[in-house]
Amino acid sequence: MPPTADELLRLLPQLTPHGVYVTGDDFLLITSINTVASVRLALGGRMVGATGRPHHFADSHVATADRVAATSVMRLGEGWLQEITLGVTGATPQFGQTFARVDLVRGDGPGRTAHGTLIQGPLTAVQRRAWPGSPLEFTLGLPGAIRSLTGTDPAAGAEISETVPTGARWRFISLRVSFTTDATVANRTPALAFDDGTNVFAQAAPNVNQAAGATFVHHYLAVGVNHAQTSLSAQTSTPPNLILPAGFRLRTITGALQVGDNFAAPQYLVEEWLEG
Amino acid sequence: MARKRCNSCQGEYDDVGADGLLYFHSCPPVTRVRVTRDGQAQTVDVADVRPTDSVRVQRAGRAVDVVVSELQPDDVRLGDGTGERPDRRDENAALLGGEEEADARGREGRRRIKAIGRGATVVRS
Repeated sequence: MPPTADELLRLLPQLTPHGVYVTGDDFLLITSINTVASVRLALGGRMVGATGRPHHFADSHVATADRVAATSVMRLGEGWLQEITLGVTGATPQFGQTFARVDLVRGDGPGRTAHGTLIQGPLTAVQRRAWPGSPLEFTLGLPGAIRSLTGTDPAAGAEISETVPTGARWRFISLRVSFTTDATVANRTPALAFDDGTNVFAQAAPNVNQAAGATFVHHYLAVGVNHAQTSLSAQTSTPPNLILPAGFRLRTITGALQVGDNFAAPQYLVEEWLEG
Repeated sequence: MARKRCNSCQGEYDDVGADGLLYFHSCPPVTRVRVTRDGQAQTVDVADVRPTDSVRVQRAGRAVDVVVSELQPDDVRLGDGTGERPDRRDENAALLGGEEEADARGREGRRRIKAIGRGATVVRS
């Protein structure tokens, strides 16, 4: 039942300037995208009921770990929503690895309508978000998380291929891989290519030939020029500041690849943002 | 964390990285080589190239056909391409379509991924 004029006048001094009147049809909708296992989001807040007495509420939200959005709802009841806060428990994600939004929605289920966004931004175990107070932020507007990844160790005769995961955006920084050629007489040239999942749009080829029966360590990073081979190591320059959306790939294309040639597992460095 | 081997491409990987984040394998494309075999031009996987096949190479500035067993170090094989494996596995999450498989890393032990392929075998848990 909506408050009477007398009730409103009595309660006004107790309410925050941003307090929002909500009814039993209003819910808080939590949406998260996350990359770290075991992350739970702890929601806490306070409401003032029609009698003017404050009551606190708390809820917990389980996030997925594969960057696929997870949602949960919490019914608010009737009163004035005063403040909410959201933080991470259960794990310690880097800044940029866990992202959440809290909306004020009317109704539950597919027919619900959002009529306010209260919280939006990255969270860590230490850095919380609050309404009122925290600005609404976007995943791509802030620094990403730096990740060092070990890729798949391919079988002999196979190239390296790493795909930007669903829900992620990468900035390629560097890749290091050991490549061993078999006894077949031929000079191999392992180039690092970038494609959109189908079509190659950039390729970095070394200016060294790797002969049969040799093991070289190849480094790919944006240094401006290819460096001459030193001992058994080659350094190849890649395009700078290369941004790769989900589904794009970085992979080797090796001239004269032979069935017994073997790449080791690549180790590569990227800056990663969540994209949702 | 488990060490797995893809049954499609035989690549090996850890399903959780050293940074604690989940790793999603996807099979690399297959290198395809243009050969002439028994007088017939065809494209075969690199694993199927025979010593008796002929390939076109760049040698001394000219494109020539050479038997594989007679290749020289500076020959540059021409006409190589890549193609996706018919049984390609891609463990990245499918937002639309895809296939569902059992995966302890997913909610309720299941995940919807882009392509199961021939599955994966746990090599070391």
